[in-house]
Amino acid sequence: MLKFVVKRIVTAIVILLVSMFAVFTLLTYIPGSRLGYMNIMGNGDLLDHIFEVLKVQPSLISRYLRYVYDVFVHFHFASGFRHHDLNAEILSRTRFTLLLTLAGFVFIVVIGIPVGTMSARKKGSLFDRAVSVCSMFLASIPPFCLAIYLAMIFCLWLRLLPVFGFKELRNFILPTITIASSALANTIQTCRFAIIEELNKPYVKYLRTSGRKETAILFGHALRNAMLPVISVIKEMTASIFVSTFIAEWFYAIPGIGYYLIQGINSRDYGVIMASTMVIAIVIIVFNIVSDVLYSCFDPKLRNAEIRGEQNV
Amino acid sequence: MFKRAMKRFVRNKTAMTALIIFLVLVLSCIIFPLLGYNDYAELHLENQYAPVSLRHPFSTDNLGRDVFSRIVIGGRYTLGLSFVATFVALFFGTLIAVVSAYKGGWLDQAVTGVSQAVSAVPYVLIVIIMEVSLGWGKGYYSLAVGIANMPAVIARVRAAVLKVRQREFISAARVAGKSDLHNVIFHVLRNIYSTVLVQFCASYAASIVACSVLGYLEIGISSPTPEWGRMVADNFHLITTRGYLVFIPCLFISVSVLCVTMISHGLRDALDPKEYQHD
Repeated sequence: MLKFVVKRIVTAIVILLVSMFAVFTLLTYIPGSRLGYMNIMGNGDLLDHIFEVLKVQPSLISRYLRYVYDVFVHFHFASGFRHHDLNAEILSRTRFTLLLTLAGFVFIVVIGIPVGTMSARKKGSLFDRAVSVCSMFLASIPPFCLAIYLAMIFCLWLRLLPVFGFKELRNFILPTITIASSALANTIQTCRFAIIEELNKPYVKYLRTSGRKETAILFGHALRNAMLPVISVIKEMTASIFVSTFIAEWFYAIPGIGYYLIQGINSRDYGVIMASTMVIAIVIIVFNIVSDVLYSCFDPKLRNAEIRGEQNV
Repeated sequence: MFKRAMKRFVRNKTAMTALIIFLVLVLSCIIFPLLGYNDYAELHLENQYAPVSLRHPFSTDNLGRDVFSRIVIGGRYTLGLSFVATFVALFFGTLIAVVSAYKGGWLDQAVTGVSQAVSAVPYVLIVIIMEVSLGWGKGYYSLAVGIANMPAVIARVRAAVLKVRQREFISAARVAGKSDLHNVIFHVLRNIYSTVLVQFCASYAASIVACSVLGYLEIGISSPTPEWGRMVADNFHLITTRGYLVFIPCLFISVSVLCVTMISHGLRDALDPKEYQHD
């Protein structure tokens, strides 16, 4: 297991460095840098002159390595327009984003798996059909439309929940629903389908004839075997959950990293874009590793391969 | 085979209703602007929030622009750009998936690895990178949305190709001395068209969502041009007083996405009844 985790982490670091290099390169070569602005304001040769005097303009790769060194060794992100030092800003914003995403994941697992299981258990009932229709609606409505409908119903019409703010717990109810909606719908559908498939297998018939209780079969055996597709669908949805988090932050004005990124994009603040992209990429990679480890915990093939000491995991 | 599937599709009431609603939507987006009824960008500051009438079926916004013509023009952008995105995703995605799955080996592994890496990145980031390198607010982001949709297409098409590749007729054709190109065109593509068609609709729904989300986040098309997501963002400050200005574009986005999703479900059930029998 340890070997597997270490291997995943090493690959993840390589992927992170390569993708960050791509972003860095693009951000370097696009028009609109601050130095370019200086060049327009002054006469055309000013920039060349400065570079000549200062003897700078190092190569792209060395600048990139310098950036990575600064971030990972000194923990110093480049500066942005509004904040000279991005560290504090990035840290406090990452906290909100992590909180929201974790709430979304918990919501998906706590609601999605039981509802999917129950609707598989009562296949064809009114409950099952209602769940199917609801999850199709939830899966296809874009998150910001859902956020607007929720705000219209719960805030403007019923006046139950606040739209903005991030101090109290009830401020996080609507954002969590917005973040989780489409992934929740997919989880419910996958869980339902997987459990229906499991319940048709011979071992369930054996368990039933041996007199086990239906709930024990459902939660003890079928659900356990159905966890694999559920975990893999949640893993597939990770990227889209993060997009929903950006939208929820933007809509409910929560000062998270996605909000910062979009602000940075709209004001062409490349230091902010680079730093937030990097943080988001790291968070996503960590989530992916966690879900891979979970997957291998539930997958007997992978587990046994690990016990037997096989290499190709 | 195809005829029978189409018959099954026509008999599916939900899917047909969705198809009709969607066609009406698309046709009105194409036809109404040509009639020259109202201009979508003309300001009439004396005519803010006009009462609903035949001339302004959806009233006017805070600058006195006719909301109906803005919706209709916006639909051209939202639905059109998502169509471009879907076309990019499907065309290149299918090409890559067919070649890599048919050839196998290191190429297949590389394609799978890269598409997994791309699918782990939120599409907003891909769009930002593309927009930054190609130009802001001009609709180039549809290409990026296409690229972001590609991994899903590649995964599904690849699985379908792998299934077809194991069948006897492929080895038979190989033994008969047919070239790989011949096999791919006449045998593989012919057997995976249903997957591609279903994936087209699914990808179109995802693209409409993505394009309107980008519009809403104000990193899509620039402001005076109406785009449904952008219209939501532009009128968002009026949500408490003039909620309909936010609600109408939202409704159009939701309805079109829902219709395309239902069409894709209908197509899936019609084309591959055994494969996707849920109950």
